[in-house]
Amino acid sequence: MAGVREQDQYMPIANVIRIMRRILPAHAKISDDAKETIQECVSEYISFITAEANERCQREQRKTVTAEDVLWAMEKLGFDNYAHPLSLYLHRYRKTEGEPASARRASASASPSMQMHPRTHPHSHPPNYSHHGFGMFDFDPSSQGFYRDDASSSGSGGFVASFDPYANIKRDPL
Amino acid sequence: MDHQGHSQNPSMGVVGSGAQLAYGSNPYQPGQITGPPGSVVTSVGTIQSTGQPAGAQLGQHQLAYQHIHQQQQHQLQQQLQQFWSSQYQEIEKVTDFKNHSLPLARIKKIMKADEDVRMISAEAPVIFARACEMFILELTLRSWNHTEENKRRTLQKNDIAAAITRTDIFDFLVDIVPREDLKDEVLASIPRGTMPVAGPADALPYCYMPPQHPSQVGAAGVIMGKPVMDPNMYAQQ
Repeated sequence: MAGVREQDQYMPIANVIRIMRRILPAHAKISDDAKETIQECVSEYISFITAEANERCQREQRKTVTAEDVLWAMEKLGFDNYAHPLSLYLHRYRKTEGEPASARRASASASPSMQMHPRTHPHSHPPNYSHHGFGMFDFDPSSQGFYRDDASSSGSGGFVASFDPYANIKRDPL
Repeated sequence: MDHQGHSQNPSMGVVGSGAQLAYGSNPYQPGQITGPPGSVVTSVGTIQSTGQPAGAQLGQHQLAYQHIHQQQQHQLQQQLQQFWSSQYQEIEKVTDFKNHSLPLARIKKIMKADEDVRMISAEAPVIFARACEMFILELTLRSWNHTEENKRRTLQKNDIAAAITRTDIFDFLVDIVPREDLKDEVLASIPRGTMPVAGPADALPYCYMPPQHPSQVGAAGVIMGKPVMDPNMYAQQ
């Protein structure tokens, strides 16, 4: 067995066990072969859904598998219970991550579903800063439209968006 | 790190010998716990009554099993309804979209294991992270239902096999569990008197199979209970 390559094909077992324990009673024990079997099942699930999503993608002559393709594939393969709450999850994710996610999708050659604002706008100016940084308008007046979504945000002044460490990986078309 | 109290867990042995051992046990004893490592109580044996004529024993066995099975399935349906309802509620309240239960890079790597997949949008692994969480929870819940049905407290591979067999949308997983575990599920639903028990001569083999391979390849001689990976190497991100 090729250790490193084999391990990369599965989710980390510690994460899997942690999730399993959430729904099991406190006295429950999990055998090692059960842990490994769940790992294998998760990878198979990802591959199964991805293959269906990619098939739709190619049929429509697109190159990028999108979240919508994934949700569509889930419904087609009988995972309606998953697709419905995940559709809500996707909407809420976009609402929160709106501009950066849109920018990342644009650079990945996906067609953005939202109107683009200045592409060169750095991550260092997250939308939620508008509650503290009125003075920031003096530095970058072109970013004014960037704060249009603030009215619908939760208004949490304590929220500070951190740089996404996966940004490069996500955009990598390899 | 493994949070269980024991480093070694009871696991499935030879089905035939397990069935024989079960003859002398009292399956209806309340609070019965899993025996020491090496002892096995099969799904059939746990609901078998003793000291009865063969015919009456068989009938009583069938009735008892049906009743327990129906109770268990009703409980499972309730738990699943509650599960999906709570999933919706949790997602309505999610505020943290940065930290995921599963690493996005690993998800992307598995997606790209399919050579036909070219580019993946940044949102797809995010959706999958949540989807896989749901998948693990549902599969674990259904598997645990089978564990309880057999009055055990250790979730085993054959419990997962049973959950896969009983759930239509999990058909794509049948190749992952070996035939012996599926056979055990078949035994659980048929009175033992009408089917000979033919277990493997040695321990059940483990099957390690890359996701993209459609056919199952069994790996012989894997040491039972030996962890494949060191959990410390994969701390949650």
